[in-house]
Amino acid sequence: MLNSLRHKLIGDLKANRGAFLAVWLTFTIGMVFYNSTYPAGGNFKNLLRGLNERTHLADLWYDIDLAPPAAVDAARAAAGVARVSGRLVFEVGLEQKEAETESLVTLRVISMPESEEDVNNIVIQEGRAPEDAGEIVLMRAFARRHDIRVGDVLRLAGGIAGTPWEVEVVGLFSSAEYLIASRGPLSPFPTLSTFGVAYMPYDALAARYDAAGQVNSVVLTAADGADLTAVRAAVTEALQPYGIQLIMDRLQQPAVATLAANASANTQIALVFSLIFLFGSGAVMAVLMARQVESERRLIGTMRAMGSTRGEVLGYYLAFALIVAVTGALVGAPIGYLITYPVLDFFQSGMVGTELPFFSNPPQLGFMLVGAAAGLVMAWVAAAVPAWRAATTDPGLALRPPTPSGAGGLARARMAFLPRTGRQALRNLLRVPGRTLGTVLGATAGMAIIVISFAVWDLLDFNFTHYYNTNAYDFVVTVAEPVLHDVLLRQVEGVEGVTGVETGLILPVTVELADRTYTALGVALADDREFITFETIEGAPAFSDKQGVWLGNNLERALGARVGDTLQVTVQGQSATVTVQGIVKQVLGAPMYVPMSLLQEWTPLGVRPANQAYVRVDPARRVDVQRELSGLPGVIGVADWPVTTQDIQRAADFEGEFAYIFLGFGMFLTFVVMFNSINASMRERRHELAVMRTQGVSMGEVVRLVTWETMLATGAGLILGVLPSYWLVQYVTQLYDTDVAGNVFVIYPQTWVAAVVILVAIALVSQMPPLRGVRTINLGDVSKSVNV
Amino acid sequence: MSGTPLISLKDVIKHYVLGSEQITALDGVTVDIPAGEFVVVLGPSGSGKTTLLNLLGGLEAAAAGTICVDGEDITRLSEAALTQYRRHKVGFVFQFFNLLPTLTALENVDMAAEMAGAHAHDPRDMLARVGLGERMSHYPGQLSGGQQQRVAVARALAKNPTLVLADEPTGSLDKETGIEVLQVMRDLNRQTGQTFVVVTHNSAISTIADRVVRISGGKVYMVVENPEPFEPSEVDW
Ligand SMILES: Nc1ncnc2c1ncn2[C@@H]1O[C@H](COP(=O)(O)OP(=O)(O)O)[C@@H](O)[C@H]1O
Ligand SMILES: [Mg+2]
Repeated sequence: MLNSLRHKLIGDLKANRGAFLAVWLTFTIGMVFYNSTYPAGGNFKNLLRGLNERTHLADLWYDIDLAPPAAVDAARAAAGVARVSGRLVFEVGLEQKEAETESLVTLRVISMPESEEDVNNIVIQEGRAPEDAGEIVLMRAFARRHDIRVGDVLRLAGGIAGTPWEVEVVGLFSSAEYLIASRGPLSPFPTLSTFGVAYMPYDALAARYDAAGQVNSVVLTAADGADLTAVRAAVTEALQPYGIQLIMDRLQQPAVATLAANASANTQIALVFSLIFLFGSGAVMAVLMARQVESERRLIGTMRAMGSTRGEVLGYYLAFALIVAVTGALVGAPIGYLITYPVLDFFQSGMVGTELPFFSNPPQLGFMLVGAAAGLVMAWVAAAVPAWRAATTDPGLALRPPTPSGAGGLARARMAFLPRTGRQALRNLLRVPGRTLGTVLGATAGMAIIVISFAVWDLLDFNFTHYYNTNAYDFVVTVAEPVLHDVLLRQVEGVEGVTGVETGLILPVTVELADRTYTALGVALADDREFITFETIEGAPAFSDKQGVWLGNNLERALGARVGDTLQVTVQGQSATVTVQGIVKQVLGAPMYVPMSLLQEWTPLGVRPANQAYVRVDPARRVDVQRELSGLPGVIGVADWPVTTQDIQRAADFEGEFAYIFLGFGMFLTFVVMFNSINASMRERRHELAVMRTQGVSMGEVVRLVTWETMLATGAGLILGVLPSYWLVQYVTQLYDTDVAGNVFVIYPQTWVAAVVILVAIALVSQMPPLRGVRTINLGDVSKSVNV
Repeated sequence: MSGTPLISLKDVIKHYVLGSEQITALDGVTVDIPAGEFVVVLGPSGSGKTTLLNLLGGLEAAAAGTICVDGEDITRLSEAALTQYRRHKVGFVFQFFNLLPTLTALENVDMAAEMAGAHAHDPRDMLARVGLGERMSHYPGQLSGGQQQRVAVARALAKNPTLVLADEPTGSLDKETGIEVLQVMRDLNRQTGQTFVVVTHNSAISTIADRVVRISGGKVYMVVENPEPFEPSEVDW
């Protein structure tokens, strides 16, 4: 580059501090957000993966009847198995220190792994490992929630003897298996209020349950590269003699699957936002660069007239973009990296409830470089195209006033029906579209960001709030084996304080449609039940006839089923063919709902079985009723529905708060983008507005003209943003889908309204300072020079 | 053709501050311009002609002195009143044209006419009179300097203002076109009785004026009445 051009570059940077700063800030803030959102999500996933590897998270879980160590050996001998551990797992009641909590708390107590090499090892994060019979370690997030510390003594109820016993909490642990407290397939969301996990030495636990030398849980990892389906088949065969109760892999183990799905969904959303930030700021930087070149046409013409080559002119602008991109990345990436710490912290506390062990948050250099390079390329292209065009036009032409490019058709229309300012605004937009392109793009990106963020709340409200409201009871009582409806009803009604009971039957069913097979929960409920209501999304209203079944929206998705399809259903060895009558909204679980009258057609003699009771109680007797219900014969669980919903809501709220973080980032970036592009557009037309003022155009009319333009550009951006926003919300909605959870897509109308109001406000605020600048232009300069 | 003064400047001073330096662009200008006259302000480059015109047009504020136009001291007007003054009383022809680049020739003139309201001249008419009937739909960037200058003249005249201020209107025109433009202005001046103040550094042009105001170093040092002005076509430079 010529020395004089280098001087111009430096001189321009000094003189054009405002313009340079605008381009630079837009890009740098984009870089900050780009580098702080996705990398934090990525590192969170890495933390999970690292924990899974270091503690040998199982690939397969087998719950079996109490069995001798031979069971473990049998599993170990199966082909493709890498590690196997056998353990004891029991559930006990935790008596509260003070009875301030109203609900029963269940602790799943597991025998301590014997070595670091065991499958599903745990990491003691506070205190030490339990050493003798009176000691346990507690899941850290659970201890936090219940305010239990190392050294506290807990009273447990359970075991063969049935008498409560006391244990001392000697440590707190985290494990890959139970990072979140999901109890089982029926309640995949963490319910820390009522469910936790503890470990105690094998001998102590075995003694309590009279199970010395035995195991009831076999967990194993598959060898690298082994086909999991084959391993599963082999192990299942090996363990068959020991009475298999339940088999789960990582996609089915609810704690692992739910956390993995959430982490993965949030990382994906973080990526979406990172990319919006990158392309939003990159595109606006490109627009600003292009406008910068455009406004320097005369200068380019002069330089060319004085003998600069085209290459030199081009090189000058490329150098300008390079300086912006390199310094922007150098400043933005480290700041972004620093922000990953609080974001990662937020991920941990929101999704897990405690810090993960083996914390590490390495900078993602590749991602940083890709972002900086993408920004540079966008700026280069944006600067190079108009610079080359300006440099290749005859210097004489470049010295003339710019002729509108988009000057055909509509731009030429007289539009006499519009007021003068409106007409001129529209003409400007149509004839110099580049000038407001930044505003348009800013509004589009802003709309996407705002709509996604708010729509996450819409989704939660539409799906979860609805879910809580459709289940109007206090407790769900589960009995081990189905009994007759009348028997269960009478038993439960007999408890003092119970004010209403309905029953249902839940059984695992195999559902086949075409070539797909899926294990779902079949839920049979009374045709005229009142405690559980449904919202039918598609097909006939739920339970309006007994001609078939209704699917929850997750099962519909997993099966790819449609209303009217015929399903092959197998329950406990018996098969039947049923028609899908409709689809009901059901955010958690993948149930198939069966009207009781239809079920009774399949049972011998038409009896009405039940293994669930939905119970309403007198609030004054809530605690006592729960205790008495859990003491009824055959009862294996009493779930407190309001408490469960609070736990679910806590987990769901995290997603909403997560969306707010992006909303904050996004609104800030949108503001920077809109402010800078409106500022740049105003700077570009300073002279023009001053000329208008010399002709007697009042400040009020200038404000009206500029406002018309800003609003038309913002409006165009909003309209352009509708479809991308819609698609992005659809994309985000399905990110949370697992086999057992999934939202029905929704965007509330008020979300659109909010986006429009916020963006219009941002646009109006953005144009205020530059308009104030127009007020202070010295009109005398108009007649003395070419440019004000 | 002299009558009651339309414009009356008294002890007008204008400074510019450049860093620590103070430049006095107008140094106590006192001059009267009768209504309906065609006045030429003549002076060398840097003498303060444009500054004088800016003050008359309400584009800049004087440091001291009074500027009465049509019985009103415009140095005392509020910003809103000044806007109305520029809008209805003054037509300004800039040395560097200052057309709006995003509007066609016709639209540029149209905008001014529309603002002036009912008493404005027909924009097409005005463009035809300056010889641009054929180029009305062109953008400024597509016109030559002289053509742009003529659009600027049409824009100022279309408003049918009381006072037309023209800063070197022939500066970038060839002789023939320059004469045509001056002729249009002179004709309108005679037909409508509008007052014209035309700035130039070209003494030949002063021969067409009713009155010549000579300015140098920010001071008016001579005002000459010209009872028998030449027609623009008789001028040679
Ligand atoms: N905005 C300004 N800032 C500083 N000096 C100025 C400014 N405008 C004019 N001047 C100075 O005032 C004097 C008169 O300028 P001007 O009225 O433009 O002269 P003319 O139009 O007669 O050539 C000149 O010396 C010029 O340099
Ligand atoms: Mg001048």
